[in-house]
Amino acid sequence: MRMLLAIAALVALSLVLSSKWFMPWRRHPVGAMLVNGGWLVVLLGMFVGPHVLGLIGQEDQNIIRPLALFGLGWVGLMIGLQGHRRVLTGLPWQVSTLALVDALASLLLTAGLAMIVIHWLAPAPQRPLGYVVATLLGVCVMGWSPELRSLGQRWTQAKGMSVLLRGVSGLSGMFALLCWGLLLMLMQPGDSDTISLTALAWGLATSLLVALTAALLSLWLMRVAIKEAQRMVVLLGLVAFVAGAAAVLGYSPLFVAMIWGLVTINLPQQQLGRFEKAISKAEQPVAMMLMISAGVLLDPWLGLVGCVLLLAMLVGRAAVKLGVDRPLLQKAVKDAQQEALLIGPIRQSPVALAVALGFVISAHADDLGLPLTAARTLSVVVLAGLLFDAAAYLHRWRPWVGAKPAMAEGNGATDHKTGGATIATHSPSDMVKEALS
Amino acid sequence: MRLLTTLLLLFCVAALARYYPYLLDPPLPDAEILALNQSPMMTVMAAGFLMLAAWLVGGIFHSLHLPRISGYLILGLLAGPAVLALIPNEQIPQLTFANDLAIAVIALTAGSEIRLDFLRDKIKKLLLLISLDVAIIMAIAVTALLAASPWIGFLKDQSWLHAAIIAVIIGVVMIANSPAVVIAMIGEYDAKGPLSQTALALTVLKDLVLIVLFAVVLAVAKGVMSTQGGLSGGFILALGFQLIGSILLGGVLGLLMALYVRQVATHLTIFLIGACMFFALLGEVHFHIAGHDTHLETLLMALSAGMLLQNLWPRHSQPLFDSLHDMSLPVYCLFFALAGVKIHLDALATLWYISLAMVVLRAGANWGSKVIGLRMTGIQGGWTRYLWLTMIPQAGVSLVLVIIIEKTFPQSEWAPKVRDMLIGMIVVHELLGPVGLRYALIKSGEAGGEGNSEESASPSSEDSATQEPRTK
Repeated sequence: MRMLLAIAALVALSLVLSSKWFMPWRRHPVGAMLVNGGWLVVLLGMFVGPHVLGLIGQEDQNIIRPLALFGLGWVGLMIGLQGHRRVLTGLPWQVSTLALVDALASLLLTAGLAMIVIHWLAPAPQRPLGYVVATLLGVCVMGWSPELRSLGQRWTQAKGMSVLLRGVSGLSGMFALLCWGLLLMLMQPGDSDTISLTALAWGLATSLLVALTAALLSLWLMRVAIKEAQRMVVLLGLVAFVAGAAAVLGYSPLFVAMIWGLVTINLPQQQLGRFEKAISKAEQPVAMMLMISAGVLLDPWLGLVGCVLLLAMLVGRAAVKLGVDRPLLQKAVKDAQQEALLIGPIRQSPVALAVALGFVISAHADDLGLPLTAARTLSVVVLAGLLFDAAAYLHRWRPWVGAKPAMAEGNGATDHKTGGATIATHSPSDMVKEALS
Repeated sequence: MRLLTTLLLLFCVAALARYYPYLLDPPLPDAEILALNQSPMMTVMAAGFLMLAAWLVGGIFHSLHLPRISGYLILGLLAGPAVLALIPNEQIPQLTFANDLAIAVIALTAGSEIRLDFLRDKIKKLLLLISLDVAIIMAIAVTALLAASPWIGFLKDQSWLHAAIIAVIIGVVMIANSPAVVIAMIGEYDAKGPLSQTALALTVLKDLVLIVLFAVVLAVAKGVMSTQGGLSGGFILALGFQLIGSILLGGVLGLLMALYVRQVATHLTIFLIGACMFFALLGEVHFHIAGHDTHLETLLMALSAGMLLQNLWPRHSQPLFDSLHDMSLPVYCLFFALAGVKIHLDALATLWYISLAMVVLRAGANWGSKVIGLRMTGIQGGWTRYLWLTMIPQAGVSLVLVIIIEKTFPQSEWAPKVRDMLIGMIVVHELLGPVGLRYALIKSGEAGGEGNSEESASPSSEDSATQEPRTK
């Protein structure tokens, strides 16, 4: 009964908050940050979850976990569908280089810092899997932007520095899923202290097999699914099947779904447009579902290890984004505004939340114990994201100097003062070359 | 050919994921395999597989001029523990929630199809038809079972009274129909007309009567056959709470849904999923009323909410029903495939001869009661000769009744045998019922969708792909 009330309250609140009644409130910077960033839903989920009010207990989580797993499959697919060969090969070298540098720096700095913390604070039996958690934090620091499809819709309309910001953001999402996916393949559940290359090879072969089969199936099924309801069957069925199969096999559903998306978008077909429309139409509900799941599954009582890990993640992100990425961005775009250079890269990518959530529902999560649990790791990622979002919004709002809260109406990195969304007549590649020259 | 390849690929990947723990060297321990089989990950994979594969097999059945629902059921049977075991036995309870969710969707759809003016005009005639159905099926079942009791293992050692009570219990299960199959088939064939309307109203009303009748029969049986329970004031109160509480609460929830549709009107699909989840969860909550354990009926709650929306605010509710319509295909695929997964072929094998005899008796009783009922009520028309065929399908409700019987008499020797016999009968009705219903809808000329809306929807239809550019 308690769970029933909690779900009813959550769904009702989420729906009412996204209605027109709350539009003025959502235009206010704080409201915008909480609603557009999805943090309000996460907070609501946390309050009804097992660690605060306990309306949804530990035993009820078997209803939440399948929903979250399905959402992860959807997110992976969306990220993969950005990777059309024309977009990827058209990316200027500055974008690829910056994304690569960002990924390496995030892994080295943040994961390195977190590994030191774990080595120092976590009990010895927990350390092998603790290092995996440290790598996860490094993966979560990769990239930026509040968007999942920076290279997707309206990519060709990007202008000026937003080309760089969006390009790196899109590539970083793929890098993050690739790193995390490969790491999970190196290990087997219950045997986290040994790393096996055979497991990696077997994992890669199996994941590719599942992804290729799904791509082939989607290609064939798209041709016969004409009505809205049939497209729903194909989409819901394939996403659930791929995410579930990947998780059952012990791999990252995000990674396998991303490979599926990458293969599908690069296969010759005509019907993909309608599917992409259906996928993006469901983006908001799926995001809401993931946010609620994250809120319910996280454990806000971080403990000492969690607090120090949070600190390591904050320091790591600030160091990478401000110390490594910002100078590179400044070098690449000569007349870039300082504010854009600061706010653009600082906000955490939503891929981070998806990766952390995927860890909570993976088989590896059960092997962790106190003081470092998967639920606490998720809290660290959520809190880091919230704090960096708050910093970006508050910096832009600056009520003490009376700045206009323009960001509240936009969607983040795309709409910074780097240039609005004017319809481009050139390819993104030409655009960025123009901007960077 | 491509369709078969698609199916084969799906089966191969599902088999790989299902059986990979056995391929590992060393294989995973049994406890870990059990945990994996019960895990939410397996639930998601199973749901996706069943939904997709059922849709594909439904398409193959459609091209063979068979109902899609039979295809969904056969796919479930093939993938379930009875045959290939791609869906492990341990996963069935985990998928039950999807089942409850589907019942809520189906009941909301049914509610949206029932118009109060039709009910007002026909209620007396419908009630007479139902009463005759109940009386004739029950009389034939009880008489036949008692007459054959010396040759039926689980009846021959019983006293006359106990044998009669067991026969009555079996008779009640034989009365049950499947509103879900009727609603899904009407939707599949886009059937409109007196046969569809009457079949829908009859199955839904009969479900109400069945709940009361089954509860009363079970209470009496408990009172006679054991020292516990029996018919009492508390029992009537609990039963009243179950029925009236479900209808009233469904009405209140319908009002809230109407309020949402009028005032907020965004994200209707999420809202519907949330609402159906709420109905399903509410149906799982147990209450203790006057010493009796009872619960609210998901079917009744969602049905009254749907009826309220359709009959009080039809215009405002239309977008909601449109979303419901879009949602219904994935739900039907999953629901009926799941019903197929649960089919116990072993039960059919044990007492198949009695089960088949019961199938024939039930069909005959159904036909007879309709002939007499239609003559008494004065309902006429060419469609009336097919009405009995719409009452043949059985599925979820009947299976639930069988499970309750077994749970109510856990110590008895006869209950497991009655369960096997009844499940055998339900399996036959599950598989053959939709075929008869399809025949009735087509022969009565009400199957408007046959060849129109649904033909292009067939995944096996070769020209469906080529139709796409033209529709664009």
